[in-house]
Amino acid sequence: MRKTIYSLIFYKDSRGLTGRIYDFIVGAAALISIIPLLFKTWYPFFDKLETFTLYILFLDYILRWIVHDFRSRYGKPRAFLVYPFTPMAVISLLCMLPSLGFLDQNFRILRMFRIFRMIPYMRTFDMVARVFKREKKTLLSVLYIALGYIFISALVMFVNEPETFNTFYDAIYWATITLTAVGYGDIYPVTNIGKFISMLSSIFGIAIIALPAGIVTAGFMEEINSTVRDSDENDKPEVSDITEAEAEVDKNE
Amino acid sequence: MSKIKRLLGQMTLNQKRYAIIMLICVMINLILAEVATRANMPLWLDVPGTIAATIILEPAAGLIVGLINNFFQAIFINGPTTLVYYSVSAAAALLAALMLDESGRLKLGRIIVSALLIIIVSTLLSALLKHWQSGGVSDNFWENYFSILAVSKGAGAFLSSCIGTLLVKIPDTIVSVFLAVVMYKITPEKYRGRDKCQLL
Repeated sequence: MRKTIYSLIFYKDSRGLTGRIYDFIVGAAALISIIPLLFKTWYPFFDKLETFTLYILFLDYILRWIVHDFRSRYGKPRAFLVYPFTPMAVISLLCMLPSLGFLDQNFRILRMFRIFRMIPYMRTFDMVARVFKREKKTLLSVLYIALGYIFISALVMFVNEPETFNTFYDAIYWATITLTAVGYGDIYPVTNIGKFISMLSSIFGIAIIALPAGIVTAGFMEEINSTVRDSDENDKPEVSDITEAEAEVDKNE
Repeated sequence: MSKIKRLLGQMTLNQKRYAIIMLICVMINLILAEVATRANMPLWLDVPGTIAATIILEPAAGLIVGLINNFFQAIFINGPTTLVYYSVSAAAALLAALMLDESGRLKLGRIIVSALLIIIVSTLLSALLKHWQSGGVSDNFWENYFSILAVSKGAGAFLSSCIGTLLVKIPDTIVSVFLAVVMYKITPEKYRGRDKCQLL
C-alpha cells in the first residue's frame, strides 16, 4: 500500500489519472483554504470549508510521512522521525496550526503558507526552482553585496545623523527602502552631508538591486531556450521517417 | 461517471481489497461510536476499526482509517480542532501493529502488551488535549463523572482529568481490541496481510 501511495504522490510520469486527480485535489484545497482570508468577517460557511481543506492538506501531510522512508537517505525508523523537520513538513504544519487552535488568531497569517503547498504541483515552479538553483552562487554573491551595502550606508548615516535616526534599526530601515528605490519618505536625512550620502547610496544602490533581476532574466531565457531545444529534439523525425518523407516527395514530383 | 469507472478499472485486486476492508473499518468505527454515544456507555468505541485495519492490513491503513473517522467527527460534531485528537487514534493504529509477530500472526502476549500501551498512551494524549482544549471537560458523561469523583476525593485538576479518562479508556480499549481481534479472525486468511495480490 505504501508503494501505491508513494507512486501516487511522487512518480509523476507513471501514475496516470489518479495521480493527476490527487494533485488537483491537494492544490485546489490549498488554494480554496486561503479564501476565508480575503474576508474580514468570518462566515459560518467558512468553518466547513476550513475543515474540508484542512483534512485534505493533513491527509497529504500524513501520506508523505508514511512513505518518507522511500525518499529519505535514512533508514526506516529514522526517516519517519526526521520527516516533521523537513522544510515542506514544517511549512505544512505551520500553515495548519492556526486552524487547530494551537495559536492565537493573530497568527492567522500563517495560513498564507498554504499557498506553498501548491508548489510541488506546479510545473512552472520546477522551471523557477531550476533557474534559482543554477544561479544560486551568483545570486548569493549579489545578496551579500547588497546586505553589506545596506549595513555600511546605514552605519554611515547613523553616525552622521544621530538626531534623525534614533536607533540603528531606523538607519537599516532607511537604507533598505532607499536602496530598493521604494522611498516612503517617513525618515530622511536633513544635513548636507547626509543628503550627499543619500544621493550616492541611491545611485549605487539601484545598480546593486538591478543585478539579480538581470541574472534571473538571463537564467530564465536560457532555461526556456533549453526547454525549446529539448522539445525540438524530441519532435525531430527519425532517419527512416525522413527517407520515407523524401521518397513520398520524389514520387509526387 | 465514466472517469470513476475508468479509475475503478485501473485498480488492482489488492487495491480493491484494501479499499473495501478500510471502508468497512471506517463504517464500524462510525457505527460503534454512535451506538456508544447514544447508549451513554462508559466507552468511546471509535478505534476498533482502526485497530482492525492495522492488524488485517498494515499500520498505514490503520492511520488512514483513523483520519477518515476523525474527519467525520470534525465535520458533524466539533469542527477542525478535532484534528488534534487524531494523534490518539494514530497512536492506537501504530501500537496495534505490536499485536502481530514477525510472521504476521496474532499472539496473546503481544495483544496484552499492545492493549496496555494503547491505554497508557491514549490516556495521556487524550487527557493532555482535553485539558488544553476544554479545561478537562469531556464530551463523554462517564469521563466527567469519574473526574468529578476524583476531584471530590482531593485530586488535582489535571490528575482527576487523567483518572476520568483512564477509567473510560481501560474498558474502551479492552472492548476495542477484542472487537478488532474478532474482525481479524472472521476475515478469511487470504484477505489478511499486506500486498497479497498474487493470492487473489
